[in-house]
Amino acid sequence: MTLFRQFFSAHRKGLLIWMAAGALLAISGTRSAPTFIEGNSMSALPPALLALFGDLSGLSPVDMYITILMGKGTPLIPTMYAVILALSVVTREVDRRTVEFLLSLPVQRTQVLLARLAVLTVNVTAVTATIWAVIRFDLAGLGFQGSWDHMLLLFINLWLLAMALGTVTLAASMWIDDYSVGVKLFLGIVALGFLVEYVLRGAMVSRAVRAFSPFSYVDLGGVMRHGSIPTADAIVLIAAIAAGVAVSFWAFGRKQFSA
Amino acid sequence: MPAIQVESLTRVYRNGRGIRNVNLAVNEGEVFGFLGPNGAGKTTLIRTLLGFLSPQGGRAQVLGLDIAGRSGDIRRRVGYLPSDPALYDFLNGQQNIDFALAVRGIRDRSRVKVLADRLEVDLKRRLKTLSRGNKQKVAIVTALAHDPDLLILDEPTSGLDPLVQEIFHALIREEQARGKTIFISSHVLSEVETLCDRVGVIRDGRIVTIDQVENLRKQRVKYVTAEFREAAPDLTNTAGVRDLQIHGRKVRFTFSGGIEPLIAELARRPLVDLTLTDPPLEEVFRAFYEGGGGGR
Repeated sequence: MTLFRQFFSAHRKGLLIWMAAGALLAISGTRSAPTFIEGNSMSALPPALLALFGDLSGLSPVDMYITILMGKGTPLIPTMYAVILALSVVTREVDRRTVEFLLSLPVQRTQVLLARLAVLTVNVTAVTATIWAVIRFDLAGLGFQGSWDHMLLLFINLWLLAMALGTVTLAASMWIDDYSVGVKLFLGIVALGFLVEYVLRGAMVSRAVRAFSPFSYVDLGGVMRHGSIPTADAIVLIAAIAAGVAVSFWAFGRKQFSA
Repeated sequence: MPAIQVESLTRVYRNGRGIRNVNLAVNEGEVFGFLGPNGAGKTTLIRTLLGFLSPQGGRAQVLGLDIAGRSGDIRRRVGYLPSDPALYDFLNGQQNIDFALAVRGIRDRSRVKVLADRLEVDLKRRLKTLSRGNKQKVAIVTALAHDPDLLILDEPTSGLDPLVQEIFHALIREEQARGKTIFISSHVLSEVETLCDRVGVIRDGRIVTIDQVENLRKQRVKYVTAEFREAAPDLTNTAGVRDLQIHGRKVRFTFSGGIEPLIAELARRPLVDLTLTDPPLEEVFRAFYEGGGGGR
């Protein structure tokens, strides 16, 4: 518990900033909802633009708006936060040499990693839940009725994506000792992956071709319409989390901390 | 039982640096100095003993516990002060120490206050606002706060002003008087000369010599001044003589090796005066660092 508290308190300020950023992004979206939903402007959008958000056919205007809102960049907030947090688990400690202090204490490396994975999970959940809560309750407050259960599943899907990227980054970070290089590299990969995914979606490239992109495992329109996360997507994301965690423990246990 | 027992310990990095076949025994209750130039392998040995690095060969025990399987238990009983220590700068000194003590399961904070008062450090200030010297003081308190059986100190007084160094030296002597073992890695030879009972010298990852500080100083190097009744002889080619200066009938030089052949050589001329003095340890270890020391 001491290890959890220490790592959590180190990231308390960062957590509040990311929650605030997510909330602001969500509010900026929900506040323009009346214009889009009541003005029926979404149906006037070109097909290529609508394709960015998946298959929107059959969705109610509110659900369509939620889907578009979710696709506009919302997934980047929890995923980027997960990546940054993952890099601070070991890489930042090595970069700032505090790892020497930490590992001079009578703790097992597995205990350290377990506590920090717990913080990663709690914080990513908090950021994702904040965005969900703002969209859910602000839209309801504005008098709109959406498929809230479906929206919750969409956020669970998004949370799985963030956790998958976070744990895979954590695993890869065991071989990176420079924090700023790690942040640039992994945020670059996430941002580029997001951009490429949306360019390919706009070009209506098939799912199979986009399989390399992590963002293709959040089928925005599909989840909102069917009210379920596609089993294949869930399996891939959970497998990525499991692999990321397993590799992290394996690599951290063997990591050599030279000067 | 030695507090530290190292047998053929090897840990070599890809660049070829590290430690090779290091053998070392530090007795319980002694202050052991570990000397060597930068990159000689001092920190590598410490990191291997504490489990930051895995040995590639050999074995070692700390406080009777094998480093391979009992690393956590070893760290529970060891106080470690790294060179240029880095604590968490989002916390203040007290919070850093509290974290370390909480992980160790220690509730008693009485020793922290005593140490902080002795070192005159304000533990309420955030680490990022402290000078290097004050950060070093916080790190010293952190290393000593849990009353460890063994202290491993890597360049402990770097960043401390001379007055605080004196306080630190007094703390070390008190810890030794309480039966604690202290392992000091340093290149501040005057510090080693003042504090240590024995000293080990490492060069290029290998132990060059281990001996009592006093013995090393005596056996290896002397400052020699000799005055002759006539012109001083040229001793340039005499074995063990270096830094030779001739001023008329007087000659000054640094000598390393057995003293008897030198006396015999000097006595071949009418000698008026002869003075042999112990040089500072710097001179002793320069011979080892430069490759002139006896291997072991």
